[in-house]
Amino acid sequence: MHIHVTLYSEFKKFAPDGTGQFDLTLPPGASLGLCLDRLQFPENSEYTALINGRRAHRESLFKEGDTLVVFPLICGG
Amino acid sequence: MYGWMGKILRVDLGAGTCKGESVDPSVAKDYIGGRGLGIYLLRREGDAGVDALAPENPLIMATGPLTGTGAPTGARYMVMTKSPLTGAVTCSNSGGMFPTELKRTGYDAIIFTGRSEAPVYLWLDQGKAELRSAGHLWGKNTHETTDMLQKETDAHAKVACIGPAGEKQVLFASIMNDKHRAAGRSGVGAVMGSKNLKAVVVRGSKGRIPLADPEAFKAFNKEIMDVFNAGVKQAPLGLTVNGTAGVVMTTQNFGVLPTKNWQQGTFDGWEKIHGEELTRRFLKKNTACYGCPIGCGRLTKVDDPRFQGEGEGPEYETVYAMGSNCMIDDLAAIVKANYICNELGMDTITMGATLACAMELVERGYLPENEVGRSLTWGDGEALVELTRMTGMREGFGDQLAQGSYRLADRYGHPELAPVSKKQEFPGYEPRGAQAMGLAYATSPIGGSHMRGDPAYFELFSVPKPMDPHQWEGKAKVTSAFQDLSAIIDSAGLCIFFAVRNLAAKDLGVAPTGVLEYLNAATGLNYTLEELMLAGERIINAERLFLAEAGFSRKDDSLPDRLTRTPAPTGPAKGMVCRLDSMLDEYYEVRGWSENGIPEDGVLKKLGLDRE
Repeated sequence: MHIHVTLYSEFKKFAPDGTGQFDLTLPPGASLGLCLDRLQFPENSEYTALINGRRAHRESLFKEGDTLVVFPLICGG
Repeated sequence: MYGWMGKILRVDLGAGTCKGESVDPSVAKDYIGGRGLGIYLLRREGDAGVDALAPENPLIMATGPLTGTGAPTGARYMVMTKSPLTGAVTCSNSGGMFPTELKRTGYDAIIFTGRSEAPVYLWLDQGKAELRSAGHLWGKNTHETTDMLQKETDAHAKVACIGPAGEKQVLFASIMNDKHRAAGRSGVGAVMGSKNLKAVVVRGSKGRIPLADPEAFKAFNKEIMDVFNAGVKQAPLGLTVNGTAGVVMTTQNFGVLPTKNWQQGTFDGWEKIHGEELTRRFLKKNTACYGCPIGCGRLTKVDDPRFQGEGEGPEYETVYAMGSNCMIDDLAAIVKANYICNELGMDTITMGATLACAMELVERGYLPENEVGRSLTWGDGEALVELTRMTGMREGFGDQLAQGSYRLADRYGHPELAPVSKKQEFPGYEPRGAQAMGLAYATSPIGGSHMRGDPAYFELFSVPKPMDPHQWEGKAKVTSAFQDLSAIIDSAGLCIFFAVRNLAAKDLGVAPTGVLEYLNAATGLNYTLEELMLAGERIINAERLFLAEAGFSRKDDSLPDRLTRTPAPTGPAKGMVCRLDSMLDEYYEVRGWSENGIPEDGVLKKLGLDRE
């Protein structure tokens, strides 16, 4: 299963080539948690993850062709 | 009294007199201070039906019992009056150093009544109040005024003043303090200008704010700051690193970054106006208000010869209003227009949103460009800078922009293009993709605002817990809880940015548990949690009564059709509209208000409030 991933800000360093945008192959039915573990996100990272623009949790499951965006949590505007 | 100084200064600008009066301790407990004290005094002193720019409209500046105490972010004061932009109440809130210094003069609040014959300023020196001529300051911008006043009073005095925009009664003129901090919204600066009051200058170095239980205060403060500091050590706060402009990434990705006068929620040029770009290109250093451990303020400098300048900002709201909303991705132009707003004394949100509305009026052929006096198209940063200056000076077409977007759009026959509730422009969160924001805008006592109960916390920032931003069912109860919490925070003298995350319960009921501990240690009033929450609800209802007395009802708790009838064209919320009507029914029920949005006898009795 392939997904499109965009990592922003300090999370770019977890991208294979450091640019922040890449395609990733995951086992069928993989969760966000598995994906972040595979990218070696530290467990205590404060992030917002969106799958196809909707907020996702570690248990959220991917489908073929999904887009994942991950950026740091910020609070207050 | 503890936490409180126990005195209010009454300044009669017509008679030229200043005299002190005592604070009633039962009012202090029921209304907390700050915003609560402000609405209590406004209802006692004022007439909700009065013309906002008439001498009969009182102008109130009020600190809270935690202002200046050393409680983290206890730096705030509120400006309460009737707004010339909306006709509703104002709750304009600012930090910096001025509020703490004001309180140290020995007064919790100042009530200005009447109108001075000639320009004056108030010099409040260690408790001694005096009105002085401000003829030589009239026409000066806020920075010049501040420098001149510190020179002629005390180099360490703190200044809150208006610029030319307030003098000329631009309907969204602000009151600037410490040069760069703004009681920005709803035209409080125009009310000050209408009174011929140029500035308030305070020096209170000898004053000490008495605490009821300093040991308990210190112990609780240590507990809170230990947790805060441990978190910051793990990862610095986004607000500290990139300022509030770092929120652009969040709103863009959720599809709620208002763009092209609220036609859509995504902006292709967002990375050019994002906080990271501001940090990289323009940041000189962070700034912080009194007692603030976050430091979200930005001291910036622009070298680009077209937009050269130095000052503070921009905040996220400015970046949305003057950036994406005008399709402008030239960050230097946005920063420069922000400086101009601060120097002339104007609200950046209404300025940017009004300009975007003008751009759409021109594009659709409703507003002839020859009336503007120059070309005005989406994305034009030079037009933004020039028209911002002209608005503050009410020059040429700036005189039309100075009325805000509603009156502008109405003049050209299309009021539906104004992005407003109660004639006040929205902050930067698109309610088609963040439903509760729409409810908060519609029910905020000041019209379009994010600061009087901010659902962006639970819809976008996951604080204290996330709620799906596309859901509308069940949002009324959480939104009203956040509104009550904001009333408590604003009244205590704290900043939303710290208090929501660190001083409230970690569930969607957001009980003000931490604020309670600070307030009790500071005031000795021994609030129970229930009493404090009732005080928040009392303040919201007192404001609502003021609005009802001014003629507001359900018809005014509205959003433009653009948000409730036209589906979002782009982004994650594509196809959605804001379900305001459904949420409003639920909201009035939660509040104990009638179907028409008027507080019912039951809730008024519970809160000890009377109709006028």
